[in-house]
Amino acid sequence: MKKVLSVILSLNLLILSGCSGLYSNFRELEQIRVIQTMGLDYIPGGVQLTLSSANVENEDETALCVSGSGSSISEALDHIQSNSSQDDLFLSHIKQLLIGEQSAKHGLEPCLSYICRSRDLRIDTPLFIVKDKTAKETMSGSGSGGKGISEIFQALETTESEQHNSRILRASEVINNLAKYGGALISAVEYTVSAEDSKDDEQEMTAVLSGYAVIKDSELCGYIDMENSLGADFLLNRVGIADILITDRLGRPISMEISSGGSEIKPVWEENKLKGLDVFINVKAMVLEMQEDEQLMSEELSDYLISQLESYVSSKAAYVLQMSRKLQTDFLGLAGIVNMDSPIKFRGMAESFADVLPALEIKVSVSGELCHTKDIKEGQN
Amino acid sequence: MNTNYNFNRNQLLSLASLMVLSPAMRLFPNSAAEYASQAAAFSAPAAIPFMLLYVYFICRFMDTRNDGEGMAELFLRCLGEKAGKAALIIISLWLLLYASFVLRASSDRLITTIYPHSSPKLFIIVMGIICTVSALGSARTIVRASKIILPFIFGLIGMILFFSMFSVSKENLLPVTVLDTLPVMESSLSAMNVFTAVLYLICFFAPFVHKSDNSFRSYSIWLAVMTVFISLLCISVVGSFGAELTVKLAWPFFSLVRNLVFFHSLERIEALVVSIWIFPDFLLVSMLLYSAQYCLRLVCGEKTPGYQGEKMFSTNNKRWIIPLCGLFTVICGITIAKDPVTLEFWSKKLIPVTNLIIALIFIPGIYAYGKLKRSCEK
Repeated sequence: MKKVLSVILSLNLLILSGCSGLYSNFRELEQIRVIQTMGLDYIPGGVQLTLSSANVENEDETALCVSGSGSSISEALDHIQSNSSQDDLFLSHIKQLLIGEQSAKHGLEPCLSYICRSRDLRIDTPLFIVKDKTAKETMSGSGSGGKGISEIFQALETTESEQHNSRILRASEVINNLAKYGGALISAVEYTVSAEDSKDDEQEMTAVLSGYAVIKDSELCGYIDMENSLGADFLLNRVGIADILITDRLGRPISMEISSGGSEIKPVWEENKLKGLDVFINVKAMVLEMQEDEQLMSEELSDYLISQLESYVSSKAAYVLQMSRKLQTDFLGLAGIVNMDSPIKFRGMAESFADVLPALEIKVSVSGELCHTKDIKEGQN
Repeated sequence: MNTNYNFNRNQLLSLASLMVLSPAMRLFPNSAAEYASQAAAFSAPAAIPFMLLYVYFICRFMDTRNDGEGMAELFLRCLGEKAGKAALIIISLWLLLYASFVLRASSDRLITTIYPHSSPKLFIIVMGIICTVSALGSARTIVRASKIILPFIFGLIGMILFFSMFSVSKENLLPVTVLDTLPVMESSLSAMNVFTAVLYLICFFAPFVHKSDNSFRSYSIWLAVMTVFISLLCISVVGSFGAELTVKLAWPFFSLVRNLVFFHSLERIEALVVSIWIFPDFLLVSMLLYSAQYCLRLVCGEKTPGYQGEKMFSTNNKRWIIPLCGLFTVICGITIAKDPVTLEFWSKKLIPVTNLIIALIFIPGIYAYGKLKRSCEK
């Protein structure tokens, strides 16, 4: 019996060694097109799906961009797979998901549900909403010289992770925030003219970060533009390196670089009723550019610059908080902060946080600090 | 009894540790997050006081056994011949049903995570055959296999938990207040379910373990270690995804593995991890099949149903019952819970409730009866 078993097991080695035996999904690496960017757009009665691969080694070949439609994401995907003359589309390395503005306005629920259920997509895939355009337009039009949307987004992600405390939000965060607070932020991108010189007359296009899209109950309900997004960064404690422009006492521009900062939010209770929120923001910045005729280290100027910095940050934070109140959407997760601070009172609240949000008294105070000013010696004369 | 096929308590606890993984991954951290939300990490520790009592009970019950006796023999001794055999038939049916469910759930995990268009039948049949072959051998083989696999599996889980800690956010785990006490206690039922099942199941392997002192201490330490493990599992998953998202996911631990990137270069290892998860399922089903056939052979009048060095396909000593149990398990695995909704019902309701009835009513009831009749005394 042992001999028979040994022979049977040995024969198994012939058919089970490698991918081309009994298991028939063997594919050569060259036959696989690795899709890195997925785009979703709303069309009446369904979705339009766009897939883009990264650049291929061969310079003559451009990055693949294919699209198809269907009544659901899966159907659109099947449509692309069956109608594409390209090699096998490999979806397990999708690095970003772009959602067209119209699609976001119609609701993100199908998309988020698909991410949760998909065996290809990761649940922490970064999400982007394309401002004023469709994902297809952006994906097919961006890039040049063999570089496509995937390379642009990879560069964007690298820059963000290096320079900022990452303003790119992932599907898992969005799903969790929507379930917890009913609102969430998603990074917004803009389809715009590239800064790179083009070889021919045609303008090269690219996609750049453009603040945040505000989601309420899974639907896009507004944007926080790039300038005001700094306020959200402070309130979300995601502040990274950011340049701002203020003016000196003569109205001339001074460029400052915010190096760090964050916020602390304290709820104000009147007995067991939430009356307001005290927002304490701290910010550190350095001067990048200014007119040379002023002495930076003079106490008077230093105080002035700090007050300008504080005022700038305060206005941005106030704008975002005001937007949250106006839209009656807790996209900043303020409820979570209040819950963390006073959990028992929070859970005993008669009304939901979203209901009391518009009536809350919100006080923003900013504490600024000037840190070193690069390699310039100040205050010598 | 042939002592060549015996093993020690530490080896048995290795098997118990791996047996925990299969139901723990099915019930945790989803159900913990569902009831206790951000306090999910406290679900398993909350079960400790009760579990210590249960460990104490199991130790007292097992103290009444003689060398070469296990839970099955104690059933007969406590209840007498007829009632004891009836109890053994009931427990055998439960063990076979549980084995079928484990086969079905494990095939579902493979389908959900790696092979989306496959039929569960293939996985159930293949696994059923392998486990039957394993049950045809000695209990020692199963236990020693677990001893070999244990460091590998727990090393892998340790690595995953370590890397996942970088994505844990304290906002997803806090605040925890006294208001969470009741939900945490409610969620601790899942931990109790997992631990009680494993504790009474390993008692069916007791005939092959020499009686020794300090079993309460050993089991308590094992319980503490496994509680830490389950808590870390909850912290990593709920801390990374948040309670709300964790509840939505069918297999949150494997979704977490899918997200992991090791050293900016190695990623998408979920298929490997899911495949490795077959080992705990294999050991659990093998153990269940072995215990079921042991009980049934006792019912059929076999005095020493343990493996005595018989040839694999020998039908002597009523060993024909073993492939029959395997066949029953496979057929049952194929026919039960055919759709996800039914599977969810089996996973969240039917199996846990039945298990708790067996663990907290059926077995203690037998012990109490034996005590009253003084029949379970040595």
